[in-house]
Amino acid sequence: MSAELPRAQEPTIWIAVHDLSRTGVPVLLTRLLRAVSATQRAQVHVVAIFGGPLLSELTPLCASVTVLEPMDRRSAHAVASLGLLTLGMGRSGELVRNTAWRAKLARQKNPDVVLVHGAGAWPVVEVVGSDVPVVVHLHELGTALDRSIPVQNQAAAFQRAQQVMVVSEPVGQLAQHRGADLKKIMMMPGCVQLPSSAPPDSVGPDPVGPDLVEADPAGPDLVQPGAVGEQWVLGAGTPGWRKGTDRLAAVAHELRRDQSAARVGWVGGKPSGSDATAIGRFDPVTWFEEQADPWPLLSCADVFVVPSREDPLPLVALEAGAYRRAVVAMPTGGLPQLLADGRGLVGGTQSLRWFVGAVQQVLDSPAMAEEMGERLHEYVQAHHDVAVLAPAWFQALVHVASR
Amino acid sequence: MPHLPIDSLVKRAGAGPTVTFVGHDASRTGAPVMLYSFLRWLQTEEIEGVQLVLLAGGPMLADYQAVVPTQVLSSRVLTGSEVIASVTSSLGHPLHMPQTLVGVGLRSVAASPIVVANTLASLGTAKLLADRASTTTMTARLVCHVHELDGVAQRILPASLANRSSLLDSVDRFIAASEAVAAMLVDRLCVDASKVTVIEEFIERPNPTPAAMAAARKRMSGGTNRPVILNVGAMSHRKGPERFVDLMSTLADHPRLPLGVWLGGERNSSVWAETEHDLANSNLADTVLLLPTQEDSASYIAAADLVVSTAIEDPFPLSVLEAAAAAKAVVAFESGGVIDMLSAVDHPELIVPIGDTLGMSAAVASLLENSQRRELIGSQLADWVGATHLVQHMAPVLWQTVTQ
Repeated sequence: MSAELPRAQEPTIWIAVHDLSRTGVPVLLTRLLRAVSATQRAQVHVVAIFGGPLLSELTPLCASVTVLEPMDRRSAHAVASLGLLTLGMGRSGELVRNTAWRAKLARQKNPDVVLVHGAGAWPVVEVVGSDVPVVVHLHELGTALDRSIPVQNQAAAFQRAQQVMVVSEPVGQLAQHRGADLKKIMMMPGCVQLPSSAPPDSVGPDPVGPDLVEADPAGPDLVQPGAVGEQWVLGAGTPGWRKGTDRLAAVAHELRRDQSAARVGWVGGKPSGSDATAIGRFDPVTWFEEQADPWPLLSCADVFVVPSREDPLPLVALEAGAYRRAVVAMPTGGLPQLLADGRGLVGGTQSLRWFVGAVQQVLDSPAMAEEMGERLHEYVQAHHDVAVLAPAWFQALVHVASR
Repeated sequence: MPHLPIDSLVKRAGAGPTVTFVGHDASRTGAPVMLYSFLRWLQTEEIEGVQLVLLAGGPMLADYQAVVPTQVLSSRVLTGSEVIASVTSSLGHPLHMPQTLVGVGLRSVAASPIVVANTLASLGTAKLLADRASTTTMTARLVCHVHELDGVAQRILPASLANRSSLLDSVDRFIAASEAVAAMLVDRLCVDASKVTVIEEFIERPNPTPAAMAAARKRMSGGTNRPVILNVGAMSHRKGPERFVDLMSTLADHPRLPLGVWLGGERNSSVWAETEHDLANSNLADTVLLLPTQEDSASYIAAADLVVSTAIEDPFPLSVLEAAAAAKAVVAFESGGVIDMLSAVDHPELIVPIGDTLGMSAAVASLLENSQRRELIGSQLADWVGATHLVQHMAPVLWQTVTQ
C-alpha cells in the first residue's frame, strides 16, 4: 500500500492484467508504474486474473493488487464454470465466474476507468459496469489476440473501448482491421529504463537442467557468457513457438558446421511440453533460467537474437538497444521499424537461412555490431524512454476517466 | 509364415475373454493404428478370446468393431471423474474418487486373465481392470505396450513419484516400441530391465490403388511435375510442423522448386492456425499444403517423392515405415526407431541432429538433385521393411510376449 492517498478529484484506475509472470506485458506494467509519481500510483488498483513472480514487485507500486484465480489449482467457481461450458451452457458459466470475481473485488473502490493491459485481461471488463470507460492497451498480434478474445467478439470489444493503445504500428493495423475506430487508436510502445553507461558487472545464475553438462561437449566451465575471447549469441523470453526458440538449435548447428566457436544461449528457461527436446539427445543450445534481471548475462551477447514468429514489440529488443547490443531479428510486429536504418538486421520474410546468415555476418564483423548497437541505443533513447512515455500513458488514462 | 504355439485358452470358443486390450482412443494415429494391424492379424490367425476397451472413440472405431468386440467407456463417467477431481482438488482435499468412478464405468467389461495397456496413457485403466480380475478367481497379468518417449510419458504418468512407481511396478511386462523407448523405461523411469522386451513398431504392407495414388499426387502437386516432400504426423509441436515450414523456406530457391505437404492434424487446432500463420509469413502459402488426417495416408506417401520427419520426439513413426515400404527415401531428425531404420540400411547421413533444420535441408536438397540415389535408398528401405517390419514378422512375437 502506498502511504500517499489520492486527492478526491483524482480518478480511481483499475488496471487489469492476465497474469503477473515475468514476461513482457506484466513487466511493462511494472516499469510504467515505477516511473509515475507516488501520488499517481496511489490511484491504481491492479486486478490480475492469475498471480506470478511479479506480485511482490507490483504490490508496493499501486494501491492494491487483487489476484482473482489461484495458480496451483482450479478454483471451485472455475470448475463450475468449466462444467457449465462443457454442458454447452457457456453464458451461465461466465455468470458464475463473474459473480465470484465481483465478490472478490467488492471491497475495491469502483473504477473511473479500466485499463485492459493486454487482451488476455479482457474478461475483467465483464465485471465492471457498462458505463465505466475502458482503455485497451493491445500488446498482441493476430494469433495471440484470437486466443485472448474470440474473433466474433473482437469488434464489440474495440467498440466498447474508449481508447485503444497499441505497442507498434502492425498492432494498430490489426486493431483497425478487427473493428477499432482509427480515431481511438493511440501509439503507446514498450519502453525501457535506460541503464547507466557501465555494463553490469556480474553474470547470472547457472544454466538450467541437470543434463546440460552431459549434453554440452564443451564442458561446464565454458557455459557462462563473459569469458574473454568467447562469442555468444543470446536471446531471452518464454521458450516456444511464438518466440521461435526451436530455431536456436538450427543456428547453433550451422555455426558448428562453419567452424565457429560462438555459443548459442537463451535466458528464460528450457522448452517444455511438446516443445521439449528429446532427453538423451544432444542439445547445442545453453538454456539459462528466467531471472529478474537477465542483462548481466545478456549484455555479454555479441549478437542478440529475436527469432520470434509473432512478437508485437519485444521489450528485450528495446533493452538490447539500451545495452548497445547488435540485434538480429525475424520480421514481426514493430521489429522492422525498430531495426531499420542500420539499427540492426531484420529479415524480409521469416527465412531461417537468412537469419542464420545474418547472425554469422554480425559475429564476423564486430565493428558492424558496435555501430548497430550504438544506433539502436540512440533510437531507443529517443523513442522508448520510460521517463517520457510513462507520464503520457498515465495522462491518457486520466483523460479517458474524465470524459 | 511361422506360427508360434498359442495358448489353448484363446482358441476356446464360448469362453470369456482371455486378453483385454485397453487403448486410449480410436484416432488414426500411431499406437491405435498399430493395434488395429495386430488385431487384424489375430483375426486372420483365428485367435479368439480378445476384447478391446477404449477410453475414447475416434474415426477408427468402426474398423476396430469389425475385427474384435470393442466398447468405449462412457465419456460421461470419465468427464465426471475429471470434474470431481478438480472440485476436490480445489477444495484442498484431493480424493481418489476419479479412479473409483472409472472403476464403476468398467463394470460392463468382462474380466480376463491378461490385460494389455496399448500405451502408457491407458495404463491406469488397464491396471484397474487387472486388479479387478485378480480379486475374483485369477491373478491377472498386466502388460504395457509403450509407444511413448519422455515428453509424453512425463505428461501422462502420475505426477506423484510414489503413484508413478506404484503404477509402473504393477506391470508384469513392458513392450517397448523401440530401443529408445526401452532406454527411457530402464534409465529414466527405473523399470527393471528384465521386464522390458523391445518389439519395434510394424505395419501392414500398404497397398494403395493406382487411382488413389494418382488422386493423391494431383492433390499434392496441383498437377505439376514439381517434387513433393511429405511429412506425416499429428499437428503438434512434438512432430515439428514449425520446423517443416522452416525447412521448406530453406528450399524455396532450390532449382527443382519442391512442394511441401504436411499430412495430419485437425484444421481447428491451435497448432494448425500457427502453422498457417508461419506459411503466410514465410511466403510459402503457395508452396506448402496442409492436409488434415486422411484415411488413405498410404496413397499420399506412395505418391510423394521424398518423406521427411521433423519430429523432435517420436518413438517409431509408422509413417516412416510406410514410406520405406513404398520405397521412398526418408530424411529424419534423430529420434527413436527411425535412427535404427536408417542405420540398418547404412544411411546414417539421412539422420539429422534434432533441430538442425539447415542440415536436413542439405540432405533433402541433395536427394532432390539425384533421383537415382533417392530410388536406391528407397529400394533398400523397402527391402528392409519388407523383410523385417511387417505385421507377419512382428505380431507372432508380440502375441507370444503378451501371453507367455
